[in-house]
Amino acid sequence: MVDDDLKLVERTLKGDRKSFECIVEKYQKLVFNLALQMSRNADDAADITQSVFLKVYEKLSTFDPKYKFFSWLYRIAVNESVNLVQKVERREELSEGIATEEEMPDRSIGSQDTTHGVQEALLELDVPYRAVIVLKHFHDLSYQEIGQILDIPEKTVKSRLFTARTMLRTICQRRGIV
Amino acid sequence: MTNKRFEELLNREIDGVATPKEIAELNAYLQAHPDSRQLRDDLHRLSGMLRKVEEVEPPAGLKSYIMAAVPQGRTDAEPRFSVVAWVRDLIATRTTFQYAYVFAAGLVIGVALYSLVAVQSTTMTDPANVTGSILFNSTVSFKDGPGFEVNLSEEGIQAEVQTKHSESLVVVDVRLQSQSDLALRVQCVQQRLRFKGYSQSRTIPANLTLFDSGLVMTSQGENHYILAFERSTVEPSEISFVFEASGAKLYEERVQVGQTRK
Repeated sequence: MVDDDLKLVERTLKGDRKSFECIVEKYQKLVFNLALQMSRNADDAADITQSVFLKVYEKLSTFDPKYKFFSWLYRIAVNESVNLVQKVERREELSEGIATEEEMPDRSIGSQDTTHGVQEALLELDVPYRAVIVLKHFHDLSYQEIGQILDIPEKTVKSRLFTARTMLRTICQRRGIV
Repeated sequence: MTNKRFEELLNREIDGVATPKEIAELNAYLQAHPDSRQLRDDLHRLSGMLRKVEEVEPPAGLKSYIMAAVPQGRTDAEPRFSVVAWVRDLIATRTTFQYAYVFAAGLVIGVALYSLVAVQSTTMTDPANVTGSILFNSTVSFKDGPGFEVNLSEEGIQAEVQTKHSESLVVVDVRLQSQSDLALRVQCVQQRLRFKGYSQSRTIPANLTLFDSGLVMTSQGENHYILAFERSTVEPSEISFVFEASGAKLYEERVQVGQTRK
């Protein structure tokens, strides 16, 4: 599979557009889901996905085949997601102010839909904490892989993950989910 | 055992990578610190909830949406002047619709080139191919055709439709704003037009059905579409626009396209 990726990368670099289309086909679901889990907005997730693959195409010649292609792709996807999510959240704060819990009835979750509720609760986490939860729980990556993607030491991944989990627990307790 | 060690062991247990020895160590700690048991239970429960979150299929057409924005040819060798890049830079300050504007602008120019090529293909054109063949034509000019506006305030729907045409093409510019799911059926009434391609801003509709004489778009929020139809005759043709919500027709407008607005 890794070899397949390398072949596709090499062919794309030689100008084979079809090979790049294969890369998009293969990884669009992964990137879209990552973006969706970070943003919880399908429109934003589609925009992020497009933006990720454009960046991959533009920067493909800088990819070092010593590393796994999917780790490199993840790294771009996380960065693009974080950038857009932070931009959107800043814009929302500027335009609307920070809404109180009472002003967000759509975000208060009943216990009958805890899976949805925990996803919504994730949005209350700061983006760096949200990212480690998403990469660990939804993408099942190792601490080492998460460290490479986020460009932080493995030790930091572990402590950030623990903090993120306890923060998520506090949010879920407030929402009556756990 | 320090708090750090407890955190590490709990992480490892939740992630399913703790060894039996580590689990025993964790259990011993919890025996001595019963106040931490609730934390362990809660984090396991949260982890279970997160595991239940299912992957979502990307919207249909996402690949085309992506590929349409990918430049033709590699750009990392020798930088070339690109109108697409220029337009993208120009509108980079707009946080919404930025790629879509490029896409839409590209389609209009691409459609112009397309009209020169006079393709005889009987298959539907991939929008990526239409937009991909852009940039170098400036000789075809489009004439303004009729348009209309719709304002259905009760349903929270606003629309603006404008047509343009050349000898071989009709281009329809559709701007929609809807607070709930809206279906817009755009269809050629006669056999004088054939749907060739579309460009769309930002939102990918949940449902997009293409067929030879037109398409049905289902969307919500603010959307901008540019549709291209190939003309088989220079005679005016008719396109119908039917706005539907929850399966019910809300509004219909028929427009004679291919004739210059008076």
